[in-house]
Amino acid sequence: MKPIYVDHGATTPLLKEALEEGMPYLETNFANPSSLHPFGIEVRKRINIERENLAKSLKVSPKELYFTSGATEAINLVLQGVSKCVGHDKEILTTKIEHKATLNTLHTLEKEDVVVRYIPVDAEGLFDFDIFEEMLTPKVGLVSLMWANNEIGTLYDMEKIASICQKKNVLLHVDAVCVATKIDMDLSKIPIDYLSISAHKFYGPKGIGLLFVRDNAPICPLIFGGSHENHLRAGTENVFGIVALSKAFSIMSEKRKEVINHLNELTTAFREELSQIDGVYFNGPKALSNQLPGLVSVRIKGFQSIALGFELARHGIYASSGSACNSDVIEESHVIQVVNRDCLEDFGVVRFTFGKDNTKEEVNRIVHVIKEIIEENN
Amino acid sequence: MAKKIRLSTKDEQSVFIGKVIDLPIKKESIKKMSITLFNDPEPCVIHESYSVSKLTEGLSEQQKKLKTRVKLTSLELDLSYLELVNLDDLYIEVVK
Repeated sequence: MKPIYVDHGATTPLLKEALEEGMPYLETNFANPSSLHPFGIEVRKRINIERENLAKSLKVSPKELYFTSGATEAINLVLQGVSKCVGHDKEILTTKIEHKATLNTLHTLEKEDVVVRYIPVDAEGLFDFDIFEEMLTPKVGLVSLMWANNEIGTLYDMEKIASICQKKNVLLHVDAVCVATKIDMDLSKIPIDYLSISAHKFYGPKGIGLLFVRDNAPICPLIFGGSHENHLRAGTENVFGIVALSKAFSIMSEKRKEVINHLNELTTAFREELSQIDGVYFNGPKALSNQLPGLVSVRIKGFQSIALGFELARHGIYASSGSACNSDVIEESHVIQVVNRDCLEDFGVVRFTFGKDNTKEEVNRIVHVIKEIIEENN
Repeated sequence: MAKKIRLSTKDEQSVFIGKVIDLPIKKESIKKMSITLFNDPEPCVIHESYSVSKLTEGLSEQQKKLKTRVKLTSLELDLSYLELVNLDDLYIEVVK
């Protein structure tokens, strides 16, 4: 039987249109965009066109957009680059359920004496806005938060978060990897200072990301070399990636409504079916308005996460357990450890992230397999 | 999958009680499987676990069908990856 891929939170397949649009820049239009001959100039023009297209979508200036190798680099650039600029005496505020790209970068900065404070989150991954506001003391220089959590799907009210940061005059970086093309990110209305996205999460290619830096927001480069990306990120541009990212962003943004409706239909049906199975519980937010479309994280009694993931894979269901290697030990996901700290014993956690091409029949089969695995276990 | 098995000798002496995935596996067999799967002779702990799950896949499948205590050899599986002696003399059963 054909495997069912429900790990779109990890990565998505590349859109055919994005591949076709980008391909000439690996073949015929291969020139270096910095070259001052017609071949190079043509490629430079294309990069500028795509930067402009993306800027129009995000309602920002093209000068505020920088291409990177992905969101991890963009996040590193913001956290380290801003800290370098504003000084290490400024504190950084975040949560303990951010992506490792944020947390491990911040751990590195902590070793350099930067103070990092963590906003407490509840079992749904949400935090109290009053506490958040109280924590925004004059010592805080930067807040870094996800727009939606990649493991449990908590969707945050970013307009509110950004307005609080603006009121308190604190810079805000948003890791928008999970929401890119799923939410209309109108940055002319939401006062976000920095925003990171990665193409391969919205049917673009791997190895290309985009960083938004609001005009006049402080940031220093981490990679030195040529004057690429307005001196912020040296290195010859990944033209294929840029063109394909832009195409995927445009297509998926156009299809936003249709895709979101489809994802909501699938996850609603999936949740309904799962809620009737003994020993299956949901991780993350309860209210639909706080849920990232397409993501369902569950914990199932009587399993270990890693073994549950393997078992699902053996039945042709490709999802994610979120476990990580830590030296010689397999650790439960750091997010699950924070939000479900009281009920980790004897539970296997698995995250299903649906994509635009998943079907209701596939949802039914996943449910059937989960029932079968639980039955085998009892 | 998480049901336990018991491996025992003819005279009912237990050699192993636990989940299939926790069976003692020869380091060499894990390395070999990791090379087959990942082309990596030094797998991280997650890849090592995955290699173990692939090695024990056949045994896990057979475990589901087991109703009584049977001779391990009757399963007709290549169990040379197990770090256990006298495999030919062992019996297997499912335990709660």
